[in-house]
Amino acid sequence: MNNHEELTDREKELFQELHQPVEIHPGVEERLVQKLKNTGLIKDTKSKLMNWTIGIAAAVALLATGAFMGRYLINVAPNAEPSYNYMLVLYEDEAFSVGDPEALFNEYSAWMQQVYQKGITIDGQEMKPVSVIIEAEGQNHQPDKKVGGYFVLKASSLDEVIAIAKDSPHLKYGGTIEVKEFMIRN
Amino acid sequence: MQADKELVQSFLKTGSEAAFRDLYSAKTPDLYRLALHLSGQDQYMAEEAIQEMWLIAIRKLQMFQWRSTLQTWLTGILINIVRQLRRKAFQQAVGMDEIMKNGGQLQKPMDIDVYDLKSAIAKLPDGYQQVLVLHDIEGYTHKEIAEMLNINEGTSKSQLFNARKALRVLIHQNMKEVRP
Repeated sequence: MNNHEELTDREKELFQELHQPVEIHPGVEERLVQKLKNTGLIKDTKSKLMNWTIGIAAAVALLATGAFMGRYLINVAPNAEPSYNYMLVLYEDEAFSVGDPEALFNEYSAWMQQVYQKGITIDGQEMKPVSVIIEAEGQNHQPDKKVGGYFVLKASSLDEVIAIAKDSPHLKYGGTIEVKEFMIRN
Repeated sequence: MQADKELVQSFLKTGSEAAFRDLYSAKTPDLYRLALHLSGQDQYMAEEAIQEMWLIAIRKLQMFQWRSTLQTWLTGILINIVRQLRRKAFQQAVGMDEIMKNGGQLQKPMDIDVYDLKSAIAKLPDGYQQVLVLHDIEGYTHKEIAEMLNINEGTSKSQLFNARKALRVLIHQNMKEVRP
């Protein structure tokens, strides 16, 4: 090294070495993509929620077009505005993890067919990943799991709905389901 | 520049994961190397800085006016984040006075290697370190550095002069400790 402002040849050589590419751990990219999806900054094109919705939508569409057995279609849509009396709230936390999208689609299709075949009306909706928690000043209750979606059903009993929920692919992938009965006032 | 514009336009148009990954792959390697140098070769800090940088950049990308290159803009964001992370981690670099106290005048070139250099860069005060890394390793001009660090070109030049001087003293001191 010298004492002058200019770099010596050796110094230049060393700085050049420090300019060599450095590989970043691939996990950084994955974590970042997940964060961007969670905050809605990029489209969740491959997400489990999307896969879930595709599965539901496809299964419903197949039934609605009569692709499955016609006799069940009568029970599916007896009128234009079906009423429901139970709700399945689908929760997800870090334990929730889905695998192959095609397998998931097939599983949801099979599950919904079973539900329809019991004469039960069912509908569902996915939820966007971002939530807004409103609470009184000074409180800080951050939920430890999020609602990934819900189903509403018209079933004959709570036991019947619990049995349906237990067969849902959502449980298999580590999610939890809350069964709620509607308060119906006459 | 044109390639960067296409990547950004593709992302802004689609907002897709694939378009983001293309952008990430194109820009991250150089920025990660810079983050490593600015964080004293702290891999975890550098990775965290890269993640934070992209989270901010993606939020602001729509407003990016292309008055500078994408690389310069991202680098400016990254430097601020590393600065904050270092402060948070209490990684206070040694002050210039402290460095020069026992430095003296160095007479002859010494046999140094890349590890001596890395170690000395990590010990430089923030301002010196940023200018030296950006100029001597990353190859930015003083004009670009001034823009990134929000300083004028003259300051960038004098910071570089002092940074090199401090770096040589630090290397000399390190070598005396290791090879007395």
